[in-house]
Amino acid sequence: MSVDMEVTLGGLSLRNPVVLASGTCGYGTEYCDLLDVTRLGGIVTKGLTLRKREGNAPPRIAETPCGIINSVGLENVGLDLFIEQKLEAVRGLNTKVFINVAGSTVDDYVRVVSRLSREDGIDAFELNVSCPNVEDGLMFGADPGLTYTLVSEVRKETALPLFVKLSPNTSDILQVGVSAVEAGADGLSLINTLHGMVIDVETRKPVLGNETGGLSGPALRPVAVYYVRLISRSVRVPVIGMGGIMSWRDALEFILAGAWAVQVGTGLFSDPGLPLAIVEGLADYCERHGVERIADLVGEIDVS
Amino acid sequence: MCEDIYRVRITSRKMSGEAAPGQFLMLKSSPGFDPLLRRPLSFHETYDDSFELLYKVVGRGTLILSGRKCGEHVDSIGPLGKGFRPAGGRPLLVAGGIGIAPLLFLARRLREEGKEPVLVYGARQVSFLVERERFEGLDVTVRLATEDGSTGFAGTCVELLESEMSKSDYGVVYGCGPSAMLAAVSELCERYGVESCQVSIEERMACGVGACLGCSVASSAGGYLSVCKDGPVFKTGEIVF
Repeated sequence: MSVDMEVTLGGLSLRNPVVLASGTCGYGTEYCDLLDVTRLGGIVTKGLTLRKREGNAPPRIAETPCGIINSVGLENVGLDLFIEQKLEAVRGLNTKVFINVAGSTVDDYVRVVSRLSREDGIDAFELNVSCPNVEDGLMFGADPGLTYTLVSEVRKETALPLFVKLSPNTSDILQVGVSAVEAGADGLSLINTLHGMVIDVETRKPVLGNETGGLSGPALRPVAVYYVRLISRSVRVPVIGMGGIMSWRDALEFILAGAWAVQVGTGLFSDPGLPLAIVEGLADYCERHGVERIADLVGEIDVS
Repeated sequence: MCEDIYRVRITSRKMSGEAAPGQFLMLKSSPGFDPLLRRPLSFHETYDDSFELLYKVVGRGTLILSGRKCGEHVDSIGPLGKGFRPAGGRPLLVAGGIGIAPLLFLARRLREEGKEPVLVYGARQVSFLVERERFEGLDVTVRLATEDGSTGFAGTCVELLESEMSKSDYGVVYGCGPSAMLAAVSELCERYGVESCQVSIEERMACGVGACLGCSVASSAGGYLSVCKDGPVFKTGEIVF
């Protein structure tokens, strides 16, 4: 039996449900010697901002129990240099490319998305709403109203599938997700990293140069699976699940919880072969269980 | 080799053949995902079919690695990064503590090129000055410094380096050790007008291939450079300590 691994979300068809997460795979080219991205569902590029960002002072990463904490701070070349230096290579990846976009004003996002929508070789956008809004310092993704405004303005600029990546650092992630969908999002990615910090008790200083950072890895997986289940039942658009996926079993948890696709991020650092192993493991599971299409497993958690 | 310092030999014809002095690999200290991240370790010496790593136990990853048994399989990615670059004139190597690790491979290459390197090597006490006899075996002139005065010059390798530099002219200084030491080495090279000063930097890494931007060092041109991809060896003018 050959298993149909294709999934379609927001009008976008992926050859399988495994996608590389933003910030962990650069522009898809850095891992070229270690990983064949053409065999994956897609990649999400490093968060892109209108203007170049230098990022935060080092140290930027620390290992934590079953995870890592990072404060890279959205270091990236900015829109113009991205188009000039990176876009050609991204176009040649022969996999679906999601451009992750970040900003500190609505206009920042609008300008990046409208400019890139005129370029070939981009398949979708993913909005990172975990950045503080300069106008009031509040994170876009912490507030349903701010999220609605942002997504509805960006929606006007592109016909490409638009995903919104939700942050768990809010009191009501569900309402933020619902607002994003009402404003026109084609899908939701969740979850982004959890706020955290680590202190070196000998020096009494924070380990990260930026003091605080975002926690990723298996430590937060149950939280992510929970939110995928909660939100996928409440919205009519597809959800992409992520958070500490280190095996095909982990990926399948997200799919059973309601995710149409999954993103692998932190796990890539440990094993660049992991994304392909997940694709193979999922196909093998489907065969063993007589499942013809991986899409048939989406949301198929048995709570009877 | 001494209380916290270990040397391991790993068989890989491909990796040892491709590695250049100053390059590193990303090694999984144990199978599975705990610890989660690989550990960056520089090539200590290479042979036809294998290579050596020299490391100090500083945390959980290196502690687990030190307990691995002979004959076990290890998962590693490499060689990675940019190593030491050739330069004219007499080479001076300076190591602080476990910073000796990448310099043996470099010293051998320099000897094979007919150069006559001098090594300035400092540590807290004599028992930490591991591998010094291997440099002597390569006919490298070795100058030792110990902070407790248990052997050689009583003081730091930077103080010994200054006295060495004041006596002879060197075309290039290659350094590895703690950040404060490398900053002092860089400053000395500038003061003595050494043509090329190259240092190997250590930073926490996640991907090792320039994708995650986790291992940054401040660039003298503004912004940051990635230690894994732009380094780990930098010319001292490229970075801000």
